Amino acid sequence: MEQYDLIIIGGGPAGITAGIYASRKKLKTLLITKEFLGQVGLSSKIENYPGFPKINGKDLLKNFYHHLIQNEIEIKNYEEVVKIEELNNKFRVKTKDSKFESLAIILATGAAPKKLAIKNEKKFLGKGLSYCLICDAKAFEGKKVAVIGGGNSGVQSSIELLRFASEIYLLEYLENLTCDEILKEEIYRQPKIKVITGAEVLRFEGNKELKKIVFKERKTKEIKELEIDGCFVEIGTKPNTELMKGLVNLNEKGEIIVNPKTMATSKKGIFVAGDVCDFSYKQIVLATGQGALAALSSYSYLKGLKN
Amino acid sequence: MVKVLIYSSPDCPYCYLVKDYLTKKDIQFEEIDLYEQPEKRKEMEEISGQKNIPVILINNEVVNGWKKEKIDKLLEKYGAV
Repeated sequence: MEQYDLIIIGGGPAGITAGIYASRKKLKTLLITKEFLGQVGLSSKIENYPGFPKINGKDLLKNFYHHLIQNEIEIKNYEEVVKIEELNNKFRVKTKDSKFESLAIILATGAAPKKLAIKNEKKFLGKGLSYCLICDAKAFEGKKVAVIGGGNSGVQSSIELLRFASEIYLLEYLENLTCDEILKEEIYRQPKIKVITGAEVLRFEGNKELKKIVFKERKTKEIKELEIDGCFVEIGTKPNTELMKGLVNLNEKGEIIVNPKTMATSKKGIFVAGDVCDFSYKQIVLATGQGALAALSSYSYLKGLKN
Repeated sequence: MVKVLIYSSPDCPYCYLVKDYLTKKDIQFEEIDLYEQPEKRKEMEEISGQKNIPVILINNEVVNGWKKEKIDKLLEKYGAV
């Protein structure tokens, strides 16, 4: 079985940066990922990553990937890790087809878009409902569209929809939008976008296609209906930590608890980086920084093992 | 011989993954870019029974979305891998 110093699991900004740093430290490194995408790949526009004043997520990730493969690193793309086992002072990582062993691991499995878990969500997926704005916005040219979620992604998506939709409704559960102030200013300047805060979305309705969102106005408890042709859900993410249950300590949200000085987890030899860990803020620039730190800490840990 | 057709758009990251995956497996495919051929959207919606992309046809069997395992199964079924 092939032995490595370090196995990195995940192909988003955190995993890729960890790979670049580990290979430059001459660690024998394997990066396994089910795809090079991450949350970044789903972003229509990124304006807060230094050096790239305006870039879409897919292109930024392509740049990261091309940087990665200039380094000496083994990559297993389109392979999903199904199990991580602890052996004597090392780890065994199983994918559907293979097994690999390493002395250290960096978990950079990221997070997946959260679903609403409300009535008829599944029924209308693809029939007016989508979780990928940059994939499906064009299907709603000249139509009335809602976006659920008033964080950066939801507000950015609403602004992006101005190119296509005739009317846009942005629904946020809290009383205020949680996006950056600069985006808040921009969205309230748009006459085509109506912002509805304090809205608890209860269910979707329609016959064959999505036609209505039913929500509760939280202040007045009044039930309201919104007639729309399409809806995008941008309510944040949940960490991809199914694999790690019982292996490392997780918080109540399922995020991996991390020492922020080293990116070490509760398990010696396992480090973590990116949206999967318990940092409050999920940002590309933080993920890359955490990836670098996790790789450097792995290097120190491995050096310690050899001495 | 397997015939693969993808309904896609240039911005769609999942469409990119499907194309990249097939390319790495040396599987040839045809692509309908819905930005260039918007008139094909209706055809795609009728075939797939929904609106989201990507839609992949493997010897006329439909895969809605980037579903690697389903794509693998169909490629295997038609002897492409």
